[in-house]
Amino acid sequence: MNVFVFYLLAIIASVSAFRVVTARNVFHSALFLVLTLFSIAGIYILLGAEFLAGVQVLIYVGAITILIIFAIMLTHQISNKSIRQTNEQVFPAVLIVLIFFAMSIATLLLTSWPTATAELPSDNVNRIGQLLMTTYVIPFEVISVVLLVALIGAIVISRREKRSGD
Amino acid sequence: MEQLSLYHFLALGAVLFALGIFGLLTRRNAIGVLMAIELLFNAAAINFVAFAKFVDPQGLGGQVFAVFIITVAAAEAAVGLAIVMLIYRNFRGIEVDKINFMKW
Amino acid sequence: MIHNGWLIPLFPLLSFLMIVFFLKKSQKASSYFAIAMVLVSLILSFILFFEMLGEGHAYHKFVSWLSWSDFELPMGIFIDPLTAVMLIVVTIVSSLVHIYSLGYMHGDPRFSRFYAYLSLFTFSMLGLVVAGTYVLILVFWELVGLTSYLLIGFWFEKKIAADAGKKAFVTTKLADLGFLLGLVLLLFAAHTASIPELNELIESGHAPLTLIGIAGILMFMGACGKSAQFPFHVWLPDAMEGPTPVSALIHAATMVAAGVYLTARLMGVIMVSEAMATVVATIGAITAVMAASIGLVQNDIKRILAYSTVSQLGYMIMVLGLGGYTAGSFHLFTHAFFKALLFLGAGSVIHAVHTNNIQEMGGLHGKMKITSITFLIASLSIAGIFPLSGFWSKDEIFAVAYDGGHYFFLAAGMAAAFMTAFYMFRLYFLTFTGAPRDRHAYDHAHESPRNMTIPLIILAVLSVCAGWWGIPWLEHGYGSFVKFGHYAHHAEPKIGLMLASLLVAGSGIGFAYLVYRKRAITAESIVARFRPLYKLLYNKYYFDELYMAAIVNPTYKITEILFRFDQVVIDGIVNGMAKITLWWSWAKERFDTYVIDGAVNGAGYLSLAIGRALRKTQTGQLQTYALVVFIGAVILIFVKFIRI
Repeated sequence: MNVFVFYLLAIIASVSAFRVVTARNVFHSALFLVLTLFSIAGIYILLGAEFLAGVQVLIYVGAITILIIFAIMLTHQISNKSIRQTNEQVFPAVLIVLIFFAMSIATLLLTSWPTATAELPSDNVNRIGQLLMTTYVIPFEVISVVLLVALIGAIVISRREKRSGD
Repeated sequence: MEQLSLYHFLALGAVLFALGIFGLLTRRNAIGVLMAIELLFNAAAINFVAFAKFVDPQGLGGQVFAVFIITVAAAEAAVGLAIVMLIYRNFRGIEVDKINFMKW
Repeated sequence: MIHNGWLIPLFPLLSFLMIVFFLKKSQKASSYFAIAMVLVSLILSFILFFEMLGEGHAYHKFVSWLSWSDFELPMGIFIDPLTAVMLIVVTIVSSLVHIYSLGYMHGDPRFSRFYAYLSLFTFSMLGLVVAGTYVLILVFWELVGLTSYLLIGFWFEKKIAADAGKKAFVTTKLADLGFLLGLVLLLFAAHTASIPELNELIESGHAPLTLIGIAGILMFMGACGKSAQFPFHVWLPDAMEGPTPVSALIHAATMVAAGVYLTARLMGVIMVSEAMATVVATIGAITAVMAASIGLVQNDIKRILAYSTVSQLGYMIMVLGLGGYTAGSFHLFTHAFFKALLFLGAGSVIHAVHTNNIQEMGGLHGKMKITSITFLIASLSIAGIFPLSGFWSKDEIFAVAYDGGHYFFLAAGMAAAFMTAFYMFRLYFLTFTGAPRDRHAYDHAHESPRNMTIPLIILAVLSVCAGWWGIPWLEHGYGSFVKFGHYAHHAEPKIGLMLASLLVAGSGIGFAYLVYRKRAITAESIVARFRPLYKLLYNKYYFDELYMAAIVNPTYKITEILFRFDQVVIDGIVNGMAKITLWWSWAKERFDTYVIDGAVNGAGYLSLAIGRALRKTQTGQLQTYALVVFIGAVILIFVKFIRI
């Protein structure tokens, strides 16, 4: 059962991701991105990370994708439908990516992962919360600062230049 | 039917990562590039979570890290899009290959 | 003084040095100092002479000069009676010429230099006669040749005078080649060059006579050059271009006598070989007759006297070849005085009428009494008229020839005597008697100043008396003083011979009188009858032309060829080297420009090109950079993980 679900979600995610990077219309790209993110949330559930799935949907889909769509709308050019979306580097990029993919697969297959067969704790939300406040408290605080800086930065960057006169 | 194993998830992560790289190298629209970068983040997160489940179930470090990844992705998207707005404001177009002023 | 004879030449040397370094500026100082020095030498020579007369022994002293492993070449003096006589002759004539030149060379711009040369010459000649080895004689011989050149060409602005000096030097130098070869051969054969040693060697009979004989002939060749014997006589007539005092000193009394002196010294060598002695005598005889014959038809007063000198020297050489050591040196002694007188007298005449051509003179007796009378005395003496000095010396010569049975030479001598008398009186009559042919010159003529006439008078006295020393009836005359070994020195006086010579001389004078005074036979008619002979004589037997064609011109041709060779080949090589060097530097320049600069510039261009190429990588395209980064990452991973 799980396997079947996994393959289903995996295929959706892969195809959507493919469409994200190859869609002619950037808006379509964004929508396919939403689909991909949703699929990945499903994957997270399969992996027993329910909290993470929730966070994924809320933040990634709910905020980031909205942000992207906003940006698309704001930078929308009237007659951009005929402009091709891929640059001249397609061929070498394809090549190298395929090589990379082959290498990755080869690596992950050949490495003997130290797998453990223990079960995940059922109260993983609890545990994540605890971990955030104990073992990973410093990264947690730093991340907060990063978010703050990013917000301020984004505001400063996109402020209009001239105050007087306009 | 086979059991779900680590390899499946890692393979999926590899696929998504490869696609993300492809998009990063290929898309003309700046926002398209940013979206490809989001794919990269997600692929990495999948890997982390997969490792959390199959390698160190008690530690859950992977899942915590995935949270961090998402946070960073958000910050990065915010700043990146702000820059794209600025570029749009100045050049009226956001084709990446047209923004090549620091060249020979 | 005999022992210190080497001092005598040093006074004129001092004069030369003083004039050259200090006194040149003042004409008075130069001339007076020179005269003073030569008079000192004169006094010392007389002292030596009287000492020698009393003691009569030859003296020699040698010091070491050059020596190496088995060979010694000393230098030193050899003073014997002959030396004493020569010293007297040289110093007397030299002093008189020094005094005479005060008047003759007055006003010449190089007056001081003239006296310097005279002093140098006197030193050289005196050194020559006191020298004790043939090597040393050669040294002074060459010095004499040098000063002769300087004095003949004294007025070198005149090309003809400069050429004459060159001719004298080159001709005598050619003859001196013989002297040098002979000297070397002598040293090789006899291992000595000193006069007394050589004479002893020959006397002892241990000498390699053939070799010494050949050496002697060669050295005699040198004597022929200096004494203007056939065939080296060509320089003496040309040498008359020099000032007349020079002619008197050098070419009458002293330098030309050097050859005779050398031959006398070589007496021992010459007489060992019958053949060689004959050669010597023959050359002398030929010269005597030939020169006299040329003198018959010349018109230049000094030329006539020059040929006369050559002829008289021929007499001396001839008699030396016949063994007449005494007679030869005696004739040298007397000849010096009357010949010097003749030349100085000629100088006086030239000074008065400003021409050398006797055809333009005439009647000068009226204007220049002293000159005329002294000239007459000398002419009578040279013709051999009793009781003047020339008579006694010429007579000695005839006596030697007669005694030795050399009748051929006697006849030659007589013939020459006839001709001598004739040409001398031809000269006298045309110059001093008769009507003046050039009125203008005659009007301006005047007697010469006292410093010129006094030497004339002194010499005239000597021309009369000097010969009396050799009168054959004298017990202790010249003959007992100057003698060599066992050779005839005391000939029996032969009245017959004396009368014969007087007759010959008298007829010569008489014939001249007929032609040039009485005009009984005119000169022109004689010339017309013997025109070809006249031409031959007038052109001096074409000797100069012969030498020019046979020797001088070929030498010029060779010079030209060598010059051409030098121009083309040598200069060609040098220029070729220059061209090669230029080409090389051009090549290097090209190399430098293209290769070196090319390399340097090329490096620059290369950098630029690489830069230009490489900066294309800065595309400004973000995604290009990303691609490159990613490719690099893939490669790194590949390399790192390929070991799996």
